[in-house]
Amino acid sequence: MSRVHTIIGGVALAGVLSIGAYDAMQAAGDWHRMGPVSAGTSLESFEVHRLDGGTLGHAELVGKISVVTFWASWCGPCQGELADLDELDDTYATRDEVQFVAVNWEGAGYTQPQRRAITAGHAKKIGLGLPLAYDDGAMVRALRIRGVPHTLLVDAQGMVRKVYPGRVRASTIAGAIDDLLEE
Amino acid sequence: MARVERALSRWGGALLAPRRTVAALSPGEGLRDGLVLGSLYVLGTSVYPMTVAIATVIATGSLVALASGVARVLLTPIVVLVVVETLLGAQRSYRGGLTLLPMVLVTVLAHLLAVLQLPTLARFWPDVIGAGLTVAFALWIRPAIPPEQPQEST
Repeated sequence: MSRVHTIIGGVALAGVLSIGAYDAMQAAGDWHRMGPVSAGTSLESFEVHRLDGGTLGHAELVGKISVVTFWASWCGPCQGELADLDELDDTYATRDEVQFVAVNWEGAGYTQPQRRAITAGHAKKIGLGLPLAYDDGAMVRALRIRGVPHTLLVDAQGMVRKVYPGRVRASTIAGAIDDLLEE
Repeated sequence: MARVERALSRWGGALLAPRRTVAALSPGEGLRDGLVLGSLYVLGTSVYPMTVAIATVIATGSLVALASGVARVLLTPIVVLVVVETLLGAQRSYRGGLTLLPMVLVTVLAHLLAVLQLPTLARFWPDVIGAGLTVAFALWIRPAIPPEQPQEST
């Protein structure tokens, strides 16, 4: 056993353990900000941009059960999710107390006109009939969304009741909507 | 403590004199290097993203989020280990774990540079380069690895 070898190995191990400890400390400090906002969170500060130039906020969520999904044109699973939600929108068309909103989050580095154009263009391309909006990043940060698709089920008081990071089955969302309708 | 010291000497020796170190190892030594070095890879690069995955599971109850987070972290070392053991062959694959050393060092170093806000490799490049060096390292030490002796049945 060479002492030099042991020292080299020890230095390498110490380096790995140090960086691991540092990351653990950072994670502990950021714990309360990690993970997406959970069920029970109020969306009082919710605001995204409509394609027609206005905003869609908390006031528009209150009074209805809302399914709000964040998506991107480059996101493969989002396309299936949008198609499912489009069908669900038709299914619940006669229920005025249920609404669906598809919020585009294309990523950083786009201007408002670009986001509007991407949202409208992609929706037209895939024949999406859902009410559309786009986010400039403010809501994605506030809701701590780390990937798309990301779907929230919001009750009539504007409170998040379910969070679905990633693709979620239409039957799952429909079941959750029906549960809220029965409350 | 002696076991730790032997491991440190083995890893240090594998970095400085790979073939000589590997040839001098006793048959039962370092058989858990794959597990240990894989764990060090996770510890040195992925504590924060693993914690985010756990926080996401707690916030959403989504086991898919947990599976996704764990897969993202463990996929690289597992795939690399499988490739390396295939390259080493059945009789020499018992030393496959030790070959993860370059990958651990490159990825942890890249992460350290990022933490210090110094120029570093972006995104998946540390894993790609680390994996490449691991494969090269495995091919380099292969001739020096004694074939595994089959255990005699009593």
